[in-house]
Amino acid sequence: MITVTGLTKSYGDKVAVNDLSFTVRDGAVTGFLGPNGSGKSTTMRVMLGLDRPTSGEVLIDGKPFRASASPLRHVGALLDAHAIHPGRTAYKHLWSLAASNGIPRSRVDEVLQLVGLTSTAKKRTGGFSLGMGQRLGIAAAMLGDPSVLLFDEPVNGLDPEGIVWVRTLLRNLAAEGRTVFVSSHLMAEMAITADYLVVIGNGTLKAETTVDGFIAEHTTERVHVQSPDLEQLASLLRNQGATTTSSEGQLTVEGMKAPAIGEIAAANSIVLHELSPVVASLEEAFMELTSDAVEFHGQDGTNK
Amino acid sequence: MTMATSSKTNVAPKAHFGNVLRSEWIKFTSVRSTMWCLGTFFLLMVGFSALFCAITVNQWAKHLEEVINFDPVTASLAGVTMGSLAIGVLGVLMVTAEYGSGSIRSTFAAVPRRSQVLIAKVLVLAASVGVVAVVAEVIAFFLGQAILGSSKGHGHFITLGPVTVADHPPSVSLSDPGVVSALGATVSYLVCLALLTAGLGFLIRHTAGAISAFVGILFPLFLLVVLLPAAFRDRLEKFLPLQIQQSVVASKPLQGTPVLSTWHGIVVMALYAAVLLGVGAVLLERRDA
Ligand SMILES: Nc1ncnc2c1ncn2[C@@H]1O[C@H](COP(=O)(O)OP(=O)(O)OP(=O)(O)O)[C@@H](O)[C@H]1O
Ligand SMILES: [Mg+2]
Repeated sequence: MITVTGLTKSYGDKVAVNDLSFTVRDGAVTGFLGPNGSGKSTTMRVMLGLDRPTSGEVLIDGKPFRASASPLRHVGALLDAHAIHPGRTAYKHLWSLAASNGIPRSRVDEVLQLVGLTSTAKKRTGGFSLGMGQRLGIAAAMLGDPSVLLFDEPVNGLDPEGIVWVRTLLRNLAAEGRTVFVSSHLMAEMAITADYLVVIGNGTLKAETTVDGFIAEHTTERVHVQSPDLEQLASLLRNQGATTTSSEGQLTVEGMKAPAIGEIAAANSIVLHELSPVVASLEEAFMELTSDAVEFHGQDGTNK
Repeated sequence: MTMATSSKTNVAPKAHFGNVLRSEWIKFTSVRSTMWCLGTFFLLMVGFSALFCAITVNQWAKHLEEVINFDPVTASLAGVTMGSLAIGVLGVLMVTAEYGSGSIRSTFAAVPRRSQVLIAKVLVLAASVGVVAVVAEVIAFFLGQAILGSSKGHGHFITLGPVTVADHPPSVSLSDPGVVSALGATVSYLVCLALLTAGLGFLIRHTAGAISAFVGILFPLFLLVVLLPAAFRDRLEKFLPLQIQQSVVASKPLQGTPVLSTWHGIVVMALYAAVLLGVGAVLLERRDA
């Protein structure tokens, strides 16, 4: 279990993480979400004792990580897949890490096989693609067969097969009872991988809940309706307290469930061509919650 | 791809310094820059020294100054100034390459007791530089003496102002006084220099910055001190690495310039390295990786 208590980390004037508290449970995948620059990587660096907190603390299984007697056997981490000496081979990179914790060399071959890099193990990592680097980072995290795993954007740059593979890996690790903490920007992926979510924005906690609970709490249910008598139906629904918006012959209804809409239509003899509840996505819930905390907004590229 | 995530052998031995040492050794020997630096050092040390001895044989007794101060040991180790640049780059790179690539974070996530990493790096660097320096110097010495001794002259003597010298340069053997001591001191000097530059690496953490600082300490600082008023200069000059190097490679006391004795010079170099590494170790624990 990882316990983050009142964690604050500033770099000069910049407060990257601000009074953050949450826990990461054993035997589950906990997703770590937040817009760019919200402090996810910073939090993970502090967890590993790499950055010193300005105040507050992080305990892993009750102790600060730096006190760990056999660090790689306790916590495995993928922080930045490209943070490897480009002139060293994948094999030597892993071997040097294994050796530092007295992990037998045979384990290097095992993790290389696990991530599918056996054939490129003797190549210098400078020529690795983003995805290969990512796989090597995962291999390094797995070296000590640790009970706690931290992954910072592990599927970044992976091909579809790799994404499915990571999902299965994370699920399996959690099923084995390990603590799995993983940050990602891929919401659809998180929705099916994670059990719990920790959401931050501007370095502060926005939500700490289950994936389903998070979606339910932060989205409003909507129903799509199509009908030849759209105008009439819309005004009837509005009279019953629903909010409607129409575009291109389709009505979007908020604040009323599909059965109620169907009944109103039937009572007024209005023909329905479509009546479909829209399942809210994690992405919508996330954007809803963090819209005020997004630091870097892009433009959509159209000149209006 | 297999999904087997566990290895069956999960015994958890304590963190041993020997493991950290082995890890640093693997890292040191698995990048090309190590071989490039040590190879360059070897070539400069042997090649430049041999060249210098050959030129000496050719140009013998053309200038009074050179003849009076001629030391066959110094001549056969003439490549040390150039060679020490490669050693300095090696010491810097051993540290800054990890910061530059960001792999220092993997290192510290695996070994959170950072001072163990520093000490392991120091030992690996000192041992490697020591061994390679011994080999390079012994070869440079014998080759240099062979070249110096190759010219037997015509048994004439040359009179240069107040002195009269043989018409060929002298050469020495390993058993002559001061020779083994000069060789040993030069190896020690190079080891200290490597550690000093590793210390710079831990302090500065950027390759370009640390190499500039190292070269700056060797040359511009030297020029700066030489330009000081004589009273200051004589007091400070002898503490400069380049000046210490002058006395270290000599088999007999230097004339003219104020220098520390050979072993005092080595102690001063070791102090420089110890101070930089000490401050580096303190900052290492304090700073964010
Ligand atoms: N070493 C540092 N020095 C100065 N500022 C930093 C440092 N590390 C992070 N920051 C700042 O702290 C904030 C949080 O950064 P962090 O990398 O933790 O965000 P993130 O959530 O991981 O973002 P992303 O999703 O883009 O990876 C950013 O504003 C960043 O500029
Ligand atoms: Mg990040």
